[in-house]
Amino acid sequence: MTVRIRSPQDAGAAILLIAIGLAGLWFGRDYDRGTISQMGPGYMPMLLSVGLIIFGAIVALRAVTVDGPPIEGGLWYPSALVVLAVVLFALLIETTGLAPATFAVVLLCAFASTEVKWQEAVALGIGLAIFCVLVFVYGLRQPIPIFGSG
Amino acid sequence: MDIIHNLVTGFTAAASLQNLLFCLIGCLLGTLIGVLPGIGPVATIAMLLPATYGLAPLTSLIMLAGIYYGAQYGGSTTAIMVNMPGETSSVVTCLDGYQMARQGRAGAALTIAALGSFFAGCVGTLILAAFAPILAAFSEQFTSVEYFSLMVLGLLSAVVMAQGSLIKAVAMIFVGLLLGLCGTDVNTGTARYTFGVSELFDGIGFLPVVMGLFGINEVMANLERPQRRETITAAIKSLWLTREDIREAWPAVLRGTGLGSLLGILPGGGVVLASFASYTVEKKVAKDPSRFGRGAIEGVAGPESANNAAAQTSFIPLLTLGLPSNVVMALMMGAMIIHGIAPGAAVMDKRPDLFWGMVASMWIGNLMLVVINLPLIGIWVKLLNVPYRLLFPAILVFCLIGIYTVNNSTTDVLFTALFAVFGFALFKFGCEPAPLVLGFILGPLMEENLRRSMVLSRGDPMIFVTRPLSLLLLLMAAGVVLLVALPQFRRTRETAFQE
Repeated sequence: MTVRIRSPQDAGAAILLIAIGLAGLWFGRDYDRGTISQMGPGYMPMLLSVGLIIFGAIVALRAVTVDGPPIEGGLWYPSALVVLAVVLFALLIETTGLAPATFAVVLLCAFASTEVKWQEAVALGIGLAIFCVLVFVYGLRQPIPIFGSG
Repeated sequence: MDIIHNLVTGFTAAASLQNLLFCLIGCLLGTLIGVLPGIGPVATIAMLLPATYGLAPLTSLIMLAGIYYGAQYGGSTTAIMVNMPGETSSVVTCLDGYQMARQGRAGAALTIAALGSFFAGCVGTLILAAFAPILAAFSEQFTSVEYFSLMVLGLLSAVVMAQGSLIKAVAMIFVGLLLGLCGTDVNTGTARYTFGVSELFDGIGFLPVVMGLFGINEVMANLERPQRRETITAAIKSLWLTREDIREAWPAVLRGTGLGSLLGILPGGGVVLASFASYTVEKKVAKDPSRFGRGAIEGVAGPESANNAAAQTSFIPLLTLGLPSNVVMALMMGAMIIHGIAPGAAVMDKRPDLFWGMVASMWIGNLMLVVINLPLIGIWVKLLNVPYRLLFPAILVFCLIGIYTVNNSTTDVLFTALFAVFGFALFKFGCEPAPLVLGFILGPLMEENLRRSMVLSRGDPMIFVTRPLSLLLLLMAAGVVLLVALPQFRRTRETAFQE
């Protein structure tokens, strides 16, 4: 008998759940479990991890028995760029300061939109950088460097 | 009368110049993000949370609450004018509201939405003022056993509202609970799942989780499906209601308010469920159901009243039991904890000014919204013409600065990226992130109460069913799960989400 995945979304969810459960057990293997009347720090994590593996198994079973919706494709690169923009901001904020970090995020975002206009993106980047400096550094007095690592 | 004395305390606290100002700011911001599709109250409150650190606790809670109920007002404007829900709670308003606008009755639809919301908001606030002390007194009998059962009930009820598969939603709660346990164990000092990262010793930050799963993910989801927006066709002729409009609308407003208040109190209820339920009820009781979908004023009046009433009463479980019933309430709970206030019945005793001040501010805020919004509708509608390609970089930058400034930590920003990726996977696999967030915030509390219960009973789990109050709560939880599993309910729930 061949097993065929009939619900790709459930299959993905099952893998994710079982992976989290196994990770929870593995990384929590050294925590003291204690007894049920004197629970140690490892008791709840073990309970939850085992629960997740069981749920994962049920969802996996459903993935091969019940027809379900496919995983929607869509445009993937905008999402990747947005995540990249978040990482970039983390790298820049303390090294180049708020203004360049804001500008860089906006410019990177321009790639993520299908209807990009260059002049517009640059103008928005400069405008937002000025706005954020005024609001967050001068208005709300947040200790963020404007340029450089402060 | 106690309640009058309490309300006086509240109004005195809420009517200070600073509190009024921030109430206004919250309401305006709420309306703004309500009008704009693609950014919801969750992302906005999360974004502004860091900015409220410097404010007094009451002032910051007043502003954050204003954003939440303000968004319910704003969402209806977009629904009526451009046939697009500004918020999920105004999805059903599109059905008849936009039809009214096409018939040249946009003004009437907007007015009834605003007045219905105002009426419902007032009633909701009164219910909050009347019922909260009763529930709080009731909860004083609670021990850790009852609290644990209560949290089981709260979390499972939240699942009812989650779209799609029940088992996946319960699994999401477990993921949230597990993530919530990260950090130093309070009882033994053992570092759990910290991987030697010092930023994790206090646990995973609340904001990176919520922002990654909701704020950043909203942006990602919107970019993935580029959408054309309809330009505004309807012009507003007159904001006045005709005598006939009033006659048809007022019973719907009453029914919507009642239904919304009730559904808002239930853990897991909330604004979306309330508006859907109200629309269904209006269609059922109408003499001529075929008018619905063609500009029936009850189809706007009912749901709009219901979602606003629910927005008010959903504060009850949080303020009396310390139990957040939806993600926005989880954020409010986060805000209270940040300000050093443990949400729950004790707030009412120890900080009556805080509790009653918040209640009073909600009434003031609802009044402000009616007065501000009707004249400003023209401006809100113009804002809809701002294209998303200009809007989302701004949203993203504000989110990022917000997260960074909480602890001035780039680690928090990197965690946000991590949870954005995780949220993306959940979205692709048809898992709802909302139960995860509720589990995450309740994780440590649940563990603590379970541990104490087990010490109390010397390791006998039967204690949860031998204590009557705890048994009742668990039976309610079982009832909720059975209800969802019933085929008929399941079908209604599915059609409600598809519409």
